[in-house]
Amino acid sequence: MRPKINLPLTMTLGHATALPQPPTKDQRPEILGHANALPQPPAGDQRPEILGHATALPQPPTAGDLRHTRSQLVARLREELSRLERARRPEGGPSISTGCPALDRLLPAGGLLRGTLVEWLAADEASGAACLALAAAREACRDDGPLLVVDGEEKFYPPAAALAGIDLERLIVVRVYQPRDETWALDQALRTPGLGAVLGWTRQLSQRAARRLQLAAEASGGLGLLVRPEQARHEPCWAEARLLVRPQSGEAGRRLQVELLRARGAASSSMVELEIDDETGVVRLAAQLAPAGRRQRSAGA
Amino acid sequence: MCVWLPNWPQQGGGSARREPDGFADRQALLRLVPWCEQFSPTVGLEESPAPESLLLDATGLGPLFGGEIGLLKCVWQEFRRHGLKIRAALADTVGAAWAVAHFGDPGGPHIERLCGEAMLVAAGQSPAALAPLTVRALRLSGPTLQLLQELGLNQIGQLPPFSRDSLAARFPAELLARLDQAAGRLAEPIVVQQPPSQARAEWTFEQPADRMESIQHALAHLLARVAGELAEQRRGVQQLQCTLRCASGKLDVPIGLFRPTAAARHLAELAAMQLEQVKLREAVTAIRVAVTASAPLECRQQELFETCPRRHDPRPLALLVDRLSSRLGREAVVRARLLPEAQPEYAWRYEPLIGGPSRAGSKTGRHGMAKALSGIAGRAAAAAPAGPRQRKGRKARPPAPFVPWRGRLSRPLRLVPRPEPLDVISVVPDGPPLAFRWSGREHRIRRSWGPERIQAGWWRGRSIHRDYYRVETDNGQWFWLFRQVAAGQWFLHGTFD
Repeated sequence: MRPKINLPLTMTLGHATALPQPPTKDQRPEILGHANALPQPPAGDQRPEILGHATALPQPPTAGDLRHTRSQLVARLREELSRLERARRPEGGPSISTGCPALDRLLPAGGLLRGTLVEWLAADEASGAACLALAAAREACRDDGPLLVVDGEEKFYPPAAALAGIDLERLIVVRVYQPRDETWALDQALRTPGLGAVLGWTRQLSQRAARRLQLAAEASGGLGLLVRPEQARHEPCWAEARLLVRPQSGEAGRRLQVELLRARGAASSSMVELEIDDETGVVRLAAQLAPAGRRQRSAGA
Repeated sequence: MCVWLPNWPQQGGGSARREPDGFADRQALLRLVPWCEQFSPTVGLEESPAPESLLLDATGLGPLFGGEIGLLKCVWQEFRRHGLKIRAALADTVGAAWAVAHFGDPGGPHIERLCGEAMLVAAGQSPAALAPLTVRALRLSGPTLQLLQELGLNQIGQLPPFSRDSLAARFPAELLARLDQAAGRLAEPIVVQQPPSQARAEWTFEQPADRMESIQHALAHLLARVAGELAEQRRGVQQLQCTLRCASGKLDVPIGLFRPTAAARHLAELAAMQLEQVKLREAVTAIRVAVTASAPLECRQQELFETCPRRHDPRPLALLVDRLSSRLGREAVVRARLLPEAQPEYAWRYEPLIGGPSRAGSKTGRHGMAKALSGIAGRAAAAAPAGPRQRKGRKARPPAPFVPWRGRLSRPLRLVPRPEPLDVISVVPDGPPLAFRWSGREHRIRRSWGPERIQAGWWRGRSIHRDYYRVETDNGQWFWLFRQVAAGQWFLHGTFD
């Protein structure tokens, strides 16, 4: 984007103090030094104003140079952005595990961060997204505050949560009947410091509401886990990470494919196959076996 | 003197209530306290999770009523006049009076029957009067009673021959303590119950107000006044009733709190939140605020070095619960409690966080709430891994009449409130399902686990007999289906979301 500049040998220098150093190959313009002044990438015909007093036109850059500087610039910008994001967030300490090391590795921060939202998109009904979200909630509440579940459809089943390792003594269930109340309850809960995690099933979430929730989590250092339908994947994402959970047919336990659709500070989408053990409830990386002999099996029958 | 109101919940509630509610019953009994002050200046409640008895200090009151007999007769008649059935006993000690009121035989040895079931034990006669009574009259806990019964000690009179040392060595300390209390060797003060707080305030508008701002302003003023009044006694508001009077009728706005508070601003916020949701048809002529329950304010010492303040502080959490309950209703903010029930839809119960867990087994509503809060906000028990805790919890409950849940994924995270009928294809009538149609789609089943047969509910009059299957479809979705064994009809009961 920014053309490489070769200083001409003959220059009329206006101010001796503003003598620009000839940039070497790995040096970039220092305009990015201030985080609050993110530069607009200059258009093709715009010439950089860095050399105010240089009279000579810069040489056209070569293709290889361009690619090099662009990748550097993108890396630089990304680093800069993540630094900005971190600065806004309260000191949340280290990242929280999702309950599965393989899933942690998928996330740029190596886990979940306090003061953020995480969206778990369910590819379908009964797809297992909430199951993973609940495992993450369990980890988030391990030594912190209670878990608050916002249940908008009167469907949450606490015995299953108890089986998943949630301590019912420290579980607050909020039953809401209107989408308006649901967003309000999530917002209030995320604003409250001291909660381990807030888990909610949100069918509809407007852009404004999503932004509000993100700000609420940032303000208090709460952790919001939202289980949403897959249709939400095309909406702009305010959450720290957006994961798509697709059910897979498994052999032993329950197999789920998790795709990282979007995350702050992550380069490209990546995916991982997980398996939930039926007996222990442990989420682990699925053994990558060829799905050769798929057998019709009916266990226990 | 002990006044026992047998079956107080029914007497106090008036109507046939299905669910006993310790908190409400206690509140109802507390309302009798000011009325009882016509007999004695010291009126208390027995200490019990579900109190049914009032304790009155009758010391030195005899002459005012023409002797202790007169006092007892007066109490008896007044209660009868109000249609309350009581058993009353007057004795030397609280323990003896309680024992005679509950288990005494009117006209038995050393018990003088006055009228109906009002009994008088003359001064100094308590040990003799208690001797023939059952040991249950000593207010002992279940395990101690069982131990006594196993040893064949059924009457109080059988205990004194044993030396104190041997009783202390063989039984829990409560036995000796209760014996001493009954005999007067150990003091048992009657804790004077604070009558439901009288803090109230009223505001009458000169012109009927129809603007919400002026109503809220007046309300905030009233709330500040009652909160301040209570704060002087170091008490906080726990329950409060705001009444808006209109030309024809009134509107009640109840406010319940998770933790007692004296913060008028918080109260005003909760009230405003509820007022937002109602539509006033008429202008308001007057507002009344009455505190219906209060509790001592907790004085919390500020720590000098709060390393991680937000994790320890239960206050923001209490405020959150208040706010949520205020807008969504008391029943909307709940905690879950597992029940030993086989039928999946009855395997748990929600309990509101505000208003006291009704049957949590704690001493009083107030303590119950404190316990609930510490349980939720506390972190002492947090580090315990979930597995053993779960097992321990299940062990402590009476054995449940169902097959223990086999795996961590044996119950769906989302239960359909009403099972949805399904069209299912299965090979044999009793066999596992092969495919089903649900929400307009055909689901082919690739794997299934089951059947888990659940047979329950006959005691509710609606017996169920179901075979549950957990199934995995071609797409990897997991559902929870069951077949009614008798009718053969299939239902969807849950999704493993």
